[in-house]
Amino acid sequence: MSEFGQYLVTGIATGASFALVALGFVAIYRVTHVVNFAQGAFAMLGGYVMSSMLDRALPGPLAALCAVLIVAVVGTLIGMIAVGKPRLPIIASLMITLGLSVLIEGICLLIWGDIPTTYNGIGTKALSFANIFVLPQQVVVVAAVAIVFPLFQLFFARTYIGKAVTACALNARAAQLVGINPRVMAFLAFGVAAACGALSGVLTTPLSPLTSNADINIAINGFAGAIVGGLISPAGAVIGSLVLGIAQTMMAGYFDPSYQLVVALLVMIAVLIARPNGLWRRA
Amino acid sequence: MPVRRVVVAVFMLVAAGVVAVLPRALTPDKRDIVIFIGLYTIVGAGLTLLMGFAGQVSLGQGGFFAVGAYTVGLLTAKGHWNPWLALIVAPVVAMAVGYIVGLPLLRLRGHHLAVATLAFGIIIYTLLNNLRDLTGGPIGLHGIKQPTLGGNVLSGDHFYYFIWIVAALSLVIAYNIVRSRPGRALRAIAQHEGAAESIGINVRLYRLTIFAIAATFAGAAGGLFASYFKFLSPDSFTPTLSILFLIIVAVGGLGNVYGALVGSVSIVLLTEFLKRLSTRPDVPARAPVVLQSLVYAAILILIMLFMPRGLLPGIQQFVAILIARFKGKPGADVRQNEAAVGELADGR
Repeated sequence: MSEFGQYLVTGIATGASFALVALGFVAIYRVTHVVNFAQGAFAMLGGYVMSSMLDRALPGPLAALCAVLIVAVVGTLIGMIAVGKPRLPIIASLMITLGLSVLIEGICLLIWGDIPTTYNGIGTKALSFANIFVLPQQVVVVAAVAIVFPLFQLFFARTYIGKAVTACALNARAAQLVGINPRVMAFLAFGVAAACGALSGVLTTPLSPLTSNADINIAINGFAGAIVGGLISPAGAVIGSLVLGIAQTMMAGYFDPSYQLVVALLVMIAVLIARPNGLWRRA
Repeated sequence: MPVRRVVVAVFMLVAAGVVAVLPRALTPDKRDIVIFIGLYTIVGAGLTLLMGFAGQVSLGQGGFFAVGAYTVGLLTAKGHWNPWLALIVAPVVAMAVGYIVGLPLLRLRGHHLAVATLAFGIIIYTLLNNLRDLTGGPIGLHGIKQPTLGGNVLSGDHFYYFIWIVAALSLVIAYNIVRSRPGRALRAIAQHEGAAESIGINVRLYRLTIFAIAATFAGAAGGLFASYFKFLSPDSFTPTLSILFLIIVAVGGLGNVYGALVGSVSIVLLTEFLKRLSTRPDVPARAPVVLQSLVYAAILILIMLFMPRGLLPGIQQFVAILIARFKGKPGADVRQNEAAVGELADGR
């Protein structure tokens, strides 16, 4: 039983790191209807920039803030390339984000090399409750989701600018008529998505070291989580990611860790086919 | 347009001539490069049908390539089949997998299909690595037998010709599919599914079949790959391979079958050039990979942004615009350019 509890807790922490990436997918897809293949690259870049900041002896929180902001700027630039050209077909945007993710991979390999990169998180001593061990860093990841998710919702539902982004997601033409520039909102969405992705990378690198080809796995996991909410529901994305994280940890614990990613892929394909608009929306 | 057909015919003849005389001029390691061009042309011909004429993106062609390769590998190395038979069975198996995988996947379209096919490729790659008893896992699969012709083992230069005959055949087949009645139906589907359906085209069946045909082409190329190199390991079938196929087709152009040839020639030669440029003793060992990803990425992005119809049509258009400018009719071809973008957009 304690084995099950352990897998459950670890799974939630894993799922929480997917959730941040998944929120990024949702932010971009809602506005642009583009699946951003570079989403995993944002997380990877976040982790790498964080490691460099820490090497320059910046205190942890400040380094994290810098990393997230830098990647957010990069994300906005990527958005400009991917969706900035007028009348660019969606499928072309998709291939451009694919190209950009390969580009970021190459740049990461160039700057940070091919040795797995990691740094110390908050404390390495595991806390234990009733024979279940939790690393402080895992608590931080879950806490981050608990903070970011409501902020994300508040931003899109309550702030002036967030409402403008949501308006574009609902009806771009109508939004344009009331003076909102959908392209600028799309760039903004890329910025927000990059910040979410970077935060995931910053927080999870201490748990699993980064390599320069990590982005595709991160992206697949985040996408699989996001598709549960049909790529448009933030709540669905978070729930989907948590379930996926738990399922993967159970798979790794009880069966074979090498098939972890396959679980994500099969979940994703199944949801895509059966419920392309999310689990609780009609197809 | 007869002029256009003459140009294509001359282009093909010249290409055939070059392919025929190359082995006399090349050392075996350089022959491998031309072999890769041939193999990628076969995959590209299938993918062009799917992307250019049916308007669907697949990021899983590397998976079908692997299915074909391991079919030949397992059947000849472990099953001791006649290599000829294995080479014929490989595309059939890939086609069957295409139909089985396509049946659920093709309910999706556009970006969802792209992600799902990417997932298929990664699943195949994971299976190759983990089904150790069957595939040999990361260590790889040895002992693949090559076919014999008139008592001699078909290898080296002879195999080179064999691959190029298959490549030429696949271009001809793809060309004929495009020009046939089903080909016109496919183009109708890519333009407007609803309209196509309303005039009695079975959209689902056509989409599924073209997906399976693209898989067949990739499987055939995979089988030839296994047979030529006599050794397989999962590292030849990473998801990057599927992205490479996508780039080849994007560079070659979606609207024409011979684009597959143009795409694979330019991309394979470029890859070789970059390898030579960056594998020198004075540069770090990771330089080739870095340079390759940077250049591939740049190509994909620039082609998608500025030449959505591919390299040759893009250059044609650019020249046409220049000529128009020179003659004092600015923007004469802009409208045509937008039409091309629209074509691609309709395929989503």
